[in-house]
Amino acid sequence: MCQISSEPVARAIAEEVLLVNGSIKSILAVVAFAAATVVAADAVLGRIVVLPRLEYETSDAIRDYKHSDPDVLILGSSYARSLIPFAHWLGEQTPGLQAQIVPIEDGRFYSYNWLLEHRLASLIDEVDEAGRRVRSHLRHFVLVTNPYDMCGNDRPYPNLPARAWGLADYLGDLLAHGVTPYNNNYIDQLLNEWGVHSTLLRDRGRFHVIRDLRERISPRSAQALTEEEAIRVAGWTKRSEGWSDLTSPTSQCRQRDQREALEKILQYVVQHQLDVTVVLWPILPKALSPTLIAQNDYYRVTMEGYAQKYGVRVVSLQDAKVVLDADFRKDLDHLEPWGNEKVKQWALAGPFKNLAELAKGAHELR
Amino acid sequence: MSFANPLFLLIFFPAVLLLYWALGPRTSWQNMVLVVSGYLYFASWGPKALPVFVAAAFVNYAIMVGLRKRDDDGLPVRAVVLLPLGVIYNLGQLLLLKYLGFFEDTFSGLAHLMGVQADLPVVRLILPIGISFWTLQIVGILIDVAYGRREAPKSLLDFAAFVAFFPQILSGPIARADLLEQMQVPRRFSAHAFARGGFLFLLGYSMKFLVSATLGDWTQGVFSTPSQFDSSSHWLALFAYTMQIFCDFAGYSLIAQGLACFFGLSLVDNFRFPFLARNISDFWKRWHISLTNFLFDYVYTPLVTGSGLLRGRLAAGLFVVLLTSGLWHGATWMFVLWGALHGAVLAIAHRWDEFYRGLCRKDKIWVKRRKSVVYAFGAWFITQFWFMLSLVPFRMPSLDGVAQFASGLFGGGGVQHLVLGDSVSSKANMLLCLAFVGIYHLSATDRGGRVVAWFMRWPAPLRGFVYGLAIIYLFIFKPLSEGAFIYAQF
Repeated sequence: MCQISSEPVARAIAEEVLLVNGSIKSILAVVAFAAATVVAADAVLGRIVVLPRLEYETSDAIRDYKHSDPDVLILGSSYARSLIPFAHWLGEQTPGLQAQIVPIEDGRFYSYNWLLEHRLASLIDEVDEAGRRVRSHLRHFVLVTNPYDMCGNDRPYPNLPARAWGLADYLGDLLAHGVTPYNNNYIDQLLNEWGVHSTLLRDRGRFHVIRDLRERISPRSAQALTEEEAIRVAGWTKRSEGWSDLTSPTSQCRQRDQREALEKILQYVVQHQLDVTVVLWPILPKALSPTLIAQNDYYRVTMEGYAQKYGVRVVSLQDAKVVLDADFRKDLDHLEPWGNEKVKQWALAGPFKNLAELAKGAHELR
Repeated sequence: MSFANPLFLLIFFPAVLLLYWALGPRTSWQNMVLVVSGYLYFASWGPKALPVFVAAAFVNYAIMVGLRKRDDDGLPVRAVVLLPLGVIYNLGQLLLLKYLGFFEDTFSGLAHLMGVQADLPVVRLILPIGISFWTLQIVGILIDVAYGRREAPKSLLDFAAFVAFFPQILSGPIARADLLEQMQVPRRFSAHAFARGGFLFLLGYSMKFLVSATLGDWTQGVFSTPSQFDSSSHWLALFAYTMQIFCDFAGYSLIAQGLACFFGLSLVDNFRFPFLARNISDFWKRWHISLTNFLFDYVYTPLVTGSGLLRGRLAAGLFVVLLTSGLWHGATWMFVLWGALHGAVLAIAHRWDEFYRGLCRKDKIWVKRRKSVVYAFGAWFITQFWFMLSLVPFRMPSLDGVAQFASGLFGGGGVQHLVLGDSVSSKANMLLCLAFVGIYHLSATDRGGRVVAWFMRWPAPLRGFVYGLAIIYLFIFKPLSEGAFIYAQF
């Protein structure tokens, strides 16, 4: 029989447990009331706390791709979602162009290539019994990128299990390596998806509950918020300078795997005779330090080098001054809906004008 | 697969438990479930080492079968051959897999000191999780059987279940024959055991995954860059580390005990409120009890009694035991130093005790003094302060690090100050974590025990409400990245 403790007092406590909580009825009552407390608190917190909204994820994009035959494939990190209004506009034309955005949170070239190799290629190259492509419309490929893509400082890419793996990928890794912090990312993301209505489950370790409760009880002054914003921006600048330290010869951005992944992506899309556009994505203008500007310049030149090698074009939203500080969310590279709208206008009027025209009357594509 | 992993909490444990009880109170079925689940749990930490773990049960069972035949005195006939064979197999495996690198480094270092270049080939072997724990568990049974103190296990399945019982694979408590005996009879469902299991699990979970993880994150900076922090930060970090290591290991042990309760099994206590100890000898009777008991039963006693090498030399025996404990904790010289320091202090305490008893025999006033509040407080303070200081070599990776941290304790560090947190909530959480250990220890006092008993008498809905609040607190404050498990490395 199990014992609680051999310490005299603790043993006495154990006896109390035995005597007081001895019946199944009593135990079930405790469990039921504990569960009710948690569920009730979760419901109350759900009304108070504002959690980050659920985004269009890689798995959503792959599912949509399976059930469509897109003309345009847009691949990029989380900020690639900013092109959703643009994609919608293309689709709304008659007959329209289907543009499929495949975003992967915190992406890098390695992640994009993994997606292409393990998720997208099988859909793009799928053939029917007669050997004809099941999806034959794809003509355009857009890679949305910024300097972080070359700098995977979070190897081995926890975003892959969290956002891009399927159950088979997870089980394969589990059998090979056991349960690891890396493949746990798959489970963590599943929990987030299953617990989509639970504030407590989604907030675990993220402290939105604490922050929002504090704000309810004692809201901060406008000055405090401004100061906090300044500290946040300074932090982003500092972190960004570290993340995308492209210019230093000892930088982790000089490791070859990201560049090799980029080349594999470009080789694949060029072999498929797609019209390829690389969009250089901007970051919050007020966070740009001279170091970051230099890094962005270095990145643009690097990407132009690849563009020349593979015969693709590079367009930059970094220099275009299309999006301003006010168009960004409270972070470094994600836009508010009105910022996304600006990007749409920019794309339709400028670099993707051809797609706009095609969408308006592109019967030849069908 | 940590006990805080959602896979464990939501799938593995409930599935194993359900199967275990669904098959009814039959020893073989129950043990079969424990063996398979144990091997799955072991493999979850890295499947490559699983053959070593499986072989440990098979080989040792085979040796113990060989020990079944007894002479007229009831002693196993083949013990002279089979016991050394078994010990060599088990300890040899431990030395090879855990300590080979240590011996290589030491040899190369010594050769270098003598001006010889001896770059040995680097051999990287798989280190099975918990090898230090389950090896001792097996060796203990083997010695008991060989000396005729216990019967050999009746079946391979019972013995394999004893070795592979998943709650204790990773870090004990190091079980003895009593667990094997429990495994040899059918276990019956008990609501009481479930209640206790739940209580111990929640308590251990809070200690390990909230308190220990929070304190670990908080003090990490001071230990990694001691030169940047001021003296008070060093003392605070060392104090917090003492709390952290206790909550880490005692929390794990409570979780293991709680899980065992769910299976109708009982594991030995591993910690008994060590921060109440008033002398170092008492401290070791309260800290990592299962290891201390093992070392005293299987190292100390044979050494200092009978025809042992250190017959009658109790202080020397104590030193050897703690030195062994240090080396068992890790394959580095820092752990050896830590063990040696504790061995020396235990030996000194033993001499002091003998000296003081002499004083008491001469004059009863010394007995009275020993019972005074001042003596009790002084003894308690010295014991606890010494233990806290001794954790510097335990925590730091090298002698240079120890020197740097020690210098920082006395003002030789930087100017940065360790702050409790950057918001009211994080400060409150940190204070709660720091106070947790104190509150836990207070529950062992008469008054504290009565408070807990009073709580236990509350109506079920009220207790459920309190447990619910505790779970909500864990949800909010338990860091997503699980805390580093200090004792898993041993």
